[in-house]
Amino acid sequence: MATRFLTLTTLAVLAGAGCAGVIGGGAPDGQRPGGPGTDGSGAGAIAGGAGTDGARPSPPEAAITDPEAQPPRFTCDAEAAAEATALRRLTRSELLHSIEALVGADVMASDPVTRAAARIPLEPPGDLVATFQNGHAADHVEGILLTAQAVAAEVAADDAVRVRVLGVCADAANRACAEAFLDGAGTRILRRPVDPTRREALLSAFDAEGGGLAGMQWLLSRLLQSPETVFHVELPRQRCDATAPAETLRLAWDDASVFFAPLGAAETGPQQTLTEAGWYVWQIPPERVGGDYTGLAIELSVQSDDGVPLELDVNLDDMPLLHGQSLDAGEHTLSASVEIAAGEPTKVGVYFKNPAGGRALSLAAVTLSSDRGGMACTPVAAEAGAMPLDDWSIASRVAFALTGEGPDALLLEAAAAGELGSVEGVMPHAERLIETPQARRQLEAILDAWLGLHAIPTPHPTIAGLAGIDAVGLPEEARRELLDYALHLVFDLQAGAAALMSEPVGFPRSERMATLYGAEQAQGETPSALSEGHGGLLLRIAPLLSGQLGSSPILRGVYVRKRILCDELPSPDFSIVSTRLEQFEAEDRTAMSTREAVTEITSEGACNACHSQINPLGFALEPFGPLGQPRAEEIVFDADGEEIARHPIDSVVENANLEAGAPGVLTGPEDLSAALANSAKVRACIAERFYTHAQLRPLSDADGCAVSAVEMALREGESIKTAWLRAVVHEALLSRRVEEVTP
Amino acid sequence: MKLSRRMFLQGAGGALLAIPTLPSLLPRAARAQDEGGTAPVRYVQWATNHGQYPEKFWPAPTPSSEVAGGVRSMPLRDISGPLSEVLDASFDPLRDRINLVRGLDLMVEQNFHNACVPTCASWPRVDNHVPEHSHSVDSILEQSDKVYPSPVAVPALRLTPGVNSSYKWGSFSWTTRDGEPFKLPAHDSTATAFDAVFGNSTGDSPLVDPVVTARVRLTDQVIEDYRQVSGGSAISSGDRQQLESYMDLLADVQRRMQLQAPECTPPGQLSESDFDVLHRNAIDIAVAAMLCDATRVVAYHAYQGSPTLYEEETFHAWAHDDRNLHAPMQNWRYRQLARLIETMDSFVEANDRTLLENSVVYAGNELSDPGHGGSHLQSMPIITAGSAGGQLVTGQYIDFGGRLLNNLLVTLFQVMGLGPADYEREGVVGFGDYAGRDRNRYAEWLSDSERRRPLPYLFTGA
Repeated sequence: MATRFLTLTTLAVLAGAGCAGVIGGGAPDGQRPGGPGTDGSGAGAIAGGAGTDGARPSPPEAAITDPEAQPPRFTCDAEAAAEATALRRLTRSELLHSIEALVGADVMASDPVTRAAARIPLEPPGDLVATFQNGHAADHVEGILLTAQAVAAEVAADDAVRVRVLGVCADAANRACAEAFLDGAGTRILRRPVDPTRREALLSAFDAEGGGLAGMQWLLSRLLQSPETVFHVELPRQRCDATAPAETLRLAWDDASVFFAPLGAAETGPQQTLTEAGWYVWQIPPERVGGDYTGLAIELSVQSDDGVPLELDVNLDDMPLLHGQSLDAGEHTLSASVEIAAGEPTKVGVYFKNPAGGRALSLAAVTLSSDRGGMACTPVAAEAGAMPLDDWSIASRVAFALTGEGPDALLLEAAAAGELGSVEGVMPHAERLIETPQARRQLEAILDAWLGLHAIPTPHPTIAGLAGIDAVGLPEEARRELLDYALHLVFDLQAGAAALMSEPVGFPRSERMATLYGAEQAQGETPSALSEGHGGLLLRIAPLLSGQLGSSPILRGVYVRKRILCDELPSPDFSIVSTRLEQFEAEDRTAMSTREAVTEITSEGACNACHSQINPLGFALEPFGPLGQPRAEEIVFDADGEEIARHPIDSVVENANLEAGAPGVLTGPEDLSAALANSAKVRACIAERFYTHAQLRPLSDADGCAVSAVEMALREGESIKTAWLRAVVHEALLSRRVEEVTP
Repeated sequence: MKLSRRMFLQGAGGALLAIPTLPSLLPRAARAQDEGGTAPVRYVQWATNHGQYPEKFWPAPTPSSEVAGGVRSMPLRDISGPLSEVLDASFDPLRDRINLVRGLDLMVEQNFHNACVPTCASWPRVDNHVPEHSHSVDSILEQSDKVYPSPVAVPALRLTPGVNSSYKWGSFSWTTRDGEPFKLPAHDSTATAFDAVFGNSTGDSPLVDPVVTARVRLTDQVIEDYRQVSGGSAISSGDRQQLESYMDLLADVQRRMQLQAPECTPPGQLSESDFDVLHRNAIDIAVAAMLCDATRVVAYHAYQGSPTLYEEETFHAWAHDDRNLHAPMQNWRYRQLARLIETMDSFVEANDRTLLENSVVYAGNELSDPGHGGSHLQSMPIITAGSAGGQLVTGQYIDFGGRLLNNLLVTLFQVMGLGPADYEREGVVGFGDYAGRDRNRYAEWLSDSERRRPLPYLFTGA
């Protein structure tokens, strides 16, 4: 009877792998793993190498230098139709970061805000691109409501924050103060100017709440949960054309739309002839004034039959034109005119001082005239199915994609100036934003989602104990180290894909991380040299850690396939997996290494279709143990953590099946790392991850043009940072599919 | 020790109450108990993950007495020693209050699984963790006017203590939005759950409470803002649907904020030094919310593996390969369930039944076979507790011999007062998935009448 030893790594392993079907993701034209060029009969070789036939790869080059051997994954099909997607809600972090950018970190860290914000449900950890749920539950809505109120209260309560957010006038705010807030901070919060109708409603609410600081707090809490704040509201670009001057509008004395009343009294209705003293007002409603009129005139006739001069005042639009005017007895016709502000309500006031006997005043007409053309605005017509977006929408797109929060003041200024209607107009702002701390934070989010950094396992206590390592908290340190490395490469070194996958430096900031790397502890922004075979994005502690008593070639192979290469792996048949697990448990591990046992249980039947793609990549990583440290031999433990055997490490694989044009033979991690540094799939994968994170949705056919441009840039040796900019700023950024904006 | 409502009131006056698990829950009154000596039926859905190794979960003896056609049972009290390694001595005092149920299956085609298997009775068609029939029992009940003749503050209290519920394994609660599956969030923090249940309680009527009235006014205006944007000519129909959905939710939140707050003193909360305390606090909140009639539907998810261990990757590995580590992990989780049941059984309501007796607790698992292999979703590991006011048998180890899990969920709807017209969705007769291999094996349970039939023996019809 075979002794039963330590069970899996390899088992759970199987759960994440596929045992049937074809993998290879988007490799074009049938050139999938196992096809031409991957089995040693290579159709070509990467630069500097000796081909794929068993030769070791060359040191990484910045660019793919033999593009024919390693074709791109993505192609541009300008005719591909996009699926309509509903307006996307902001993620929890997008919303909170945007609010923080406005009110400051201290407000967000206050107890009331923290507690309220906790009511907004978290997003899924891991690959948010695949799992983001574009909808709200009542918990979201209530959480946002409570957060908005808590933030507004905290802002109002703090002198400095109050002045910064609400304005210096906030303490005793009047309408002008509220208007200034809406035009300033309001634009920042909504990421576009406050709509005129909404503006009026907000100001009415401000008044209704008694104005002052309470009114300002009210405005803030309302704006923070507005649709433009909570959703990515994207509106079409408008084309505004000059129109001819409006025809003169003459409103007769009895025009029903013209308000008439003795000042301070109730409306009496039209009244042509006035014979009593007092102020009379003709009020023209704004909808009659329209946006085009620039002149207001009045025509009056007066008469005095008793020989006494008439006295009157005339105001036009609150501007006194006649004051104490005395007109000789007899009949007079007079007219007066004034320039007015287009679109605002206007009025005519007449003060008729001394009517008596035969003295009377008659209104002939009020006239509106225009000396200039107006502006007629209509949405820009769609071209090739794409509806151009307005500058405000574009500003938001680029800001959220690069910083994870709304546009800053400079970007909003550019939107207001209409400077964002082209890639050339947007790019300078993107180049500015990518240098901000928020962009670093955003890159961390992209890496977390791409590389699954939420799921780094805690080492098995037996393994950690043997190494003298405290396992608690190590996954987070390993995650942080990987992020520090990637940020250093992307931002400090302007690295391309090759360097990102291969640079032998790291940031082990704790003693235990330094121990695992066999390196000096890193200080500040200076990395430590890694000399024990670590380096690049893959050969780091985070991806290599195992939570079990041994390393897991299958899990590692799956990780490389799915995470680093963006290959798709079908789910395995779990009935078969269970059988294989039982088989694995029965293996005599005193005689078999993990590699041998894994090979034994995966080499037959349908399993081999996928495991021939998975296992070699995991086997090549066997020189690293379950803690990610280099090792010369594999130590096998039983389930109780007792050592039962030692086996030599065999990391040579004959058919790596990495991709077309890649070497077939890998002798170990160094070869694998070098192959990844030269990999076309890696470049395609980086392009896909950066592009889809900006959209927060998986790729569709219509994304081919944009994402292929990013892929090509990486293939040609451009830096990751430049590729990221390309993933964000492209022609598709400027428009939305027409079916998405057509009501 | 059982506490009557009168004792709560005495406690509020200063008497020391030696309640082991709920020392500071002192409701001033329980609205649910003030309705002429009756009490409503409450539904508690408790769920966990990673399946069960049969020999670690099920008792050694098997039910042998046929109590209905094809249904066998035996009293749990007749089982000597602990029920099993997972269901340890914590369940001994509860044996008369619970049932251990086996022999209920879900028809499946693929061996994919998802968190909603026990409460949606549905499996995903692709490996994306999304149930095909995306309606969970709690999401149906919270919308039912049979459960809530009048609105309550928290139609369903969902708790995933210490776990982000949006994680793919984190929530057992699904519904549909605009025809698409939508996973409902749950409180991962006891603080937010506490605020949701008790946070608006100022003692004043919400109709005069200035904070509430201002909030109502504010939400009115925000809804108007949404209406204005939604009515814009440049908004597509898809966009409009999103905005209108938000408006509806905001109106719902507004309605609930105007409800009279529960007349209860909130439970005290301990400093959460470990997951044991975390769950103790969460259980206290859930029980208090039911006693105060702030909710009649609780969905609870236990996912840690010890007082200090929560690590999905490790748990996943144990599920596939290490029954010796898997069993203690499950034992810790089921001890949290025992605590919940025991706490519910500590309070006597106005009809002289305990809260537990007035409730049905349904404890399920996303899996049966931890490796989701050959016996995938067969004989799901199920515990029920409480009699739903006398409608369910208790104290039994019941083997249904291979009926459909769907009928258990139908039974739950039945005891909560819902009929087919209330719980059936999307044209499906019965509830959940009825698609999968081995259709012939379940043929006798697939007629319309059988799909709608509560489980015999378990459901007493009382």
